[in-house]
Order: sequence, then C-alpha cells, then structure tokens
Amino acid sequence: MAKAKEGNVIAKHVSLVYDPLGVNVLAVADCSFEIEAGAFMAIVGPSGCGKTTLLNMIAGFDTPTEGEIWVDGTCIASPTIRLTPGPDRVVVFQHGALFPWRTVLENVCWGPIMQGTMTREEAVEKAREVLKISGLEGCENEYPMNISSGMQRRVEIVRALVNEPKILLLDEPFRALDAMTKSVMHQYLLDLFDATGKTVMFITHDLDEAIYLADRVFVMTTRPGRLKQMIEVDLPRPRNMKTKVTDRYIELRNEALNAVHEEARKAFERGEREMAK
Amino acid sequence: MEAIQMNKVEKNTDQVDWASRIDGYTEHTPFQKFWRRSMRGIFNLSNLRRILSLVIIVVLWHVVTTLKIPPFTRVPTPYEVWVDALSFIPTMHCFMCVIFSMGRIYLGFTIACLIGIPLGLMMGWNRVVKNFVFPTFESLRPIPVISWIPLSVIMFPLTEHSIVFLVFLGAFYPIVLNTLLGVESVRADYIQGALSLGSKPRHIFFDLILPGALPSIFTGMTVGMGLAWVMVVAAEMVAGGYGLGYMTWESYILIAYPRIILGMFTIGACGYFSSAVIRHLGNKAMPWRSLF
Ligand SMILES: Nc1ncnc2c1ncn2[C@@H]1O[C@H](COP(=O)(O)OP(=O)(O)OP(=O)(O)O)[C@@H](O)[C@H]1O
Ligand SMILES: [Mg+2]
Repeated sequence: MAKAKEGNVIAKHVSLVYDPLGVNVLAVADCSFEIEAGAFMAIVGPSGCGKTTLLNMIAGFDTPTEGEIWVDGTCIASPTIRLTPGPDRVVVFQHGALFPWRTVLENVCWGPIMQGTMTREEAVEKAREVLKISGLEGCENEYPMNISSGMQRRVEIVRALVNEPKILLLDEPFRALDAMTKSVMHQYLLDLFDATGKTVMFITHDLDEAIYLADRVFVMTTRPGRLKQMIEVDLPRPRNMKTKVTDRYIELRNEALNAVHEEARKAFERGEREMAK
Repeated sequence: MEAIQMNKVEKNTDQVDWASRIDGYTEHTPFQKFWRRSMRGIFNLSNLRRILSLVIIVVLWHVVTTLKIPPFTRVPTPYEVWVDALSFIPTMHCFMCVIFSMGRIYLGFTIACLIGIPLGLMMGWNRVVKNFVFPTFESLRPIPVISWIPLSVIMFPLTEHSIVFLVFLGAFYPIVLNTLLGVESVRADYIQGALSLGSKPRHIFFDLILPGALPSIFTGMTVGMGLAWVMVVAAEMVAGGYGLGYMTWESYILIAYPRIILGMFTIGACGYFSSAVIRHLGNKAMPWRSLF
C-alpha cells in the first residue's frame, strides 16, 4: 500500500476540565502539537497525567473546554464544535474492548458490515486476509476469552485496521503484556506501520517503547498534563531488535531519560514547595 | 512474522490425562483405559461424598420419625412415603396436578419474560423511560407478592386467571431488575469502541447492550422461576383448583400425611426441572460463556 496522504492532526492550545459534582479537575492544559500525515507519534507521561483524556478528545468521546483540533485542514473539534466518534479515527483501548460475545472473525468484520461499506462476504474475505497477515490464522472462530492476551491485542488492532481509518489511536495497547509478548507486538506494530503508512498516535508510559516505535515522542508532565518535551527520533526505518543496540538509539534514550528525569524532579520539587506553603 | 506465532500457548490443560503423567503408571489395553476413565467419572471421591450426604439425610429422617422425636411425631417415615409414591405417581390424578401447575408456571412466566425483559432493557437504555417507570416499580416492589393473593382473587373472576397473574407477578420483579442491572453493567469501553467503529444506536442496542445484558437476564429468569413456583404453590393452596400446591394442601385436610411429603418432593423436582431448562437455554444463547 502507498503511503497515505491524509491523517494530519493538529491540536491548538487544547485544554479540558472535568467537573464532576462541581469540582473542577484540569486534566489537560494547553496542549499544542502536530502529527503529520503518516507519522507515528508517541505520547509518554506518568499515570493520571491526562493521556487518555487527550486521546478521547481526538476520538470524539470528550469535547475540549478550550482550543481546537484540526484534521486534514478542517477544524473538527472545539468548545463549540462537538465531535462525534467515527471510523476514520479508530481507538484501541487500554483495557481491551473486544466484544466477548463475538468470535474473532465476527469482531473484525463487525465495523465494515455495520457501516455498510462492505457486504458480508467482502468483509469476511478482507478480515481473513488481514488476520492471516497478522499471524492469526486458525483462531477466527474462537471467542476472545479463549486466545492469549497478546493475540487479543493483535485482533483488536486488526479490528481497527479493517475500517481503513485515517488515524489509529492506540491507548497503551501493550500495557498488560509480558516482556516477551510485548517485543513481538512491537515488531508486529512496526511492520504494520511500515506497510500501511497510517497516522498513529500511541500512548504509553514507557519511554523505551516510545522511542523504539515513534518518529516523535511528546513527554507530558504530571497533572494538569502539558506537553513539556518533544523528542525527534531519527532512527531509520524499518526498525527491528537490532535498532535497540545502535549508538543512536542509546544516545536518544539517555537524552530523553535525562530530560524526563529532570522534568520529574522539577515537578517533585514544585510539589514539595507547594506542600510547604 | 514467524516470531509472532511464538505466543500460541498450549491450551486445554484440563484435557491432559494427569494420571498418565504419574511415574510408574501404565495403561495396558484400550478396555482398561476405558474402564478406568468411566470408573473415575462415576466413583470418584467427590461423587461418593455427595451420595453419602444424601444417604445420611434419609437415615436421619428415618431415625427421627421412627423414634417420634418432637417435632417429628406425626411426620411419615421414608418408607411410608416410598410406598405412597409407588401407588400415587402412576395415576392420572398425579399427572394432571403436574400438568396444571406446570401450565400455570409456563403461562405466567412467559408473560413475565415478554413484558419484563423489554421493560428492563428500555429502562436501562433510555433515561426518560426509567424516570417514568422506576419510581412506580420500586414503590410496588417491597410489597411481598404473596400479599397480592386476596386482591388478585377479587380482580379476576376466574381462579385460573388470578393464579397465572400471581405467577407473573412473582417472576416479573427479579426479571426486570436483573435486566436493568445487566444493561447498566455493560462496560463503557465496549460502547465507546463501537462508537469509534462508526456504529449507530440501533447497532449498539442489539449488538452490545442485548448480549452484554444476557447473563444478567438469565440470572433474573432463574430467580424469577424460583419465585414463580413459590407463587403457584401459594396461590393453589389458597384459591384451589387443581395443581401440586392444591394437592399438597388437600392431603393435609384429608390426613394423608405421606402424600404431603410426596407433594413437596414433586414440587421440588418440577422446580429443579424448570431451572434446568432455563440453564440449558442460557448456555445455548450464550455460547461464549459455556467455555468458562
Ligand atoms: N470522567 C472523569 N471525571 C473526572 N475526572 C476524570 C475523568 N476522567 C479522568 N479524570 C481525571 O483526569 C486525569 C487524567 O486522566 P487520564 O485517564 O487521561 O490519565 P492517563 O494519563 O490516561 O492515566 P493512565 O496512565 O493511568 O491511563 C486523572 O487525574 C483523572 O483523575
Ligand atoms: Mg489512560
């Protein structure tokens, strides 16, 4: 497949305030960034810093309190424009959301059939094809409960991909996996990214993972989440396990770790000052 | 891509024949193997304990009734009940009692499902419906269903109708409540995921809410079936007619004590059978869960 030319995302000074029971919680504060069409961006930050919230705004589950989100040159979300979720921006969730009552194949086919973009036969054929590419042949008729967690995550990514989204929104998809499965999944995702050229927004709290996978890594501060640091990752693609032992990778990683550590220390000290008041 | 195959973990450990893994264990012939398997299936320690517990209960029953220890002075012995069972069960009268009670259960319970499940689904799906229905529902629910017996006898000119109504009422509350609970327990992730795949409300209702609520709906039906039997027995005892409840009560009036116990057992057996049917339907309707 050729590199897709669409899927450019721009966030302009986006903020979001939750107010459950009138208590205002500033979850995301003044975030601005751009993801070029066909780029892989990772967002890294500590737990509870607003990563999921940021993703939810692009997905259309939350409306920004301030700021605007632009996709391919049109403003799709702002305090006055309510964005609805849609198959051009498919989300893969932190906790996994395969429907347990449908088999793997049914899960994958569901999107296109329901939208009416494909007939049942086309959808099944396409789903089988993508499942095969992903090494998931032979478990089409299993229920999600009966396959390993690594396979579940892969099925979920496949389910997103058959909809031909412009943007793939991945919310810590590999969080619950063990190290072995994780590295297999990394390779899978990298191969997939090289093959499809979709825009990817990948959320994680693991800096290593972010540098290994992404073109650009944004580091967020603790809540309220701001974008604090931008790391350009100029490692050549295609990447594989060997990339992790190159000098450039180690250099980038150390640089990033220092920056993040400094950031964390600053946040910690500021916290102490605030406590002392 | 080869590496991806790696995490296909070996599954189905429960199908491994553990005995064959023990040192020094050898299977000789296929017949030995078969014999061993089936014996292990029937005469394992767990089943022996289960049978033993039943035997102990019957023995205790025998002891307390033959020794006439109060309050068991007038309770028939297991043997008397057994003799009565042999003479009563093959009769037409017994058959009709079962048919009548079952028929009332079937009617009342089906109506309860037909009204209760859609009502519960709508309440969980639409806040307006819930706002309108739930307060009424919750204010009527604390009234024990048994206390509806006099009113329902007044309301319906035919005994048959009032009994079916009471059965309906007994099954209705748990079915509605559990259905509502089931709808509300569907994970928000699934809904968000479906929305992001581009689904419309209709798809969310039929493809997510309904299957997501199904386990809870079947729980409600099981509980509802239990209460339906409570109601049919109580209503038959009061309102009369045919049926197992009526038969049991009549036996008391006629001083046929063994038959009281027999009536109780028959009611228990019918109740068990009804629950088994629901469980079976549940497993059929939810193939993804029968693998747990
Ligand atoms: N619906 C909500 N109502 C109120 N506060 C919320 C809501 N959702 C999230 N928050 C708050 O917003 C902050 C950011 O949450 P978010 O889920 O975006 O964090 P995260 O970075 O994804 O964390 P994690 O790594 O644990 O997933 C959290 O402190 C959380 O308490
Ligand atoms: Mg999160």
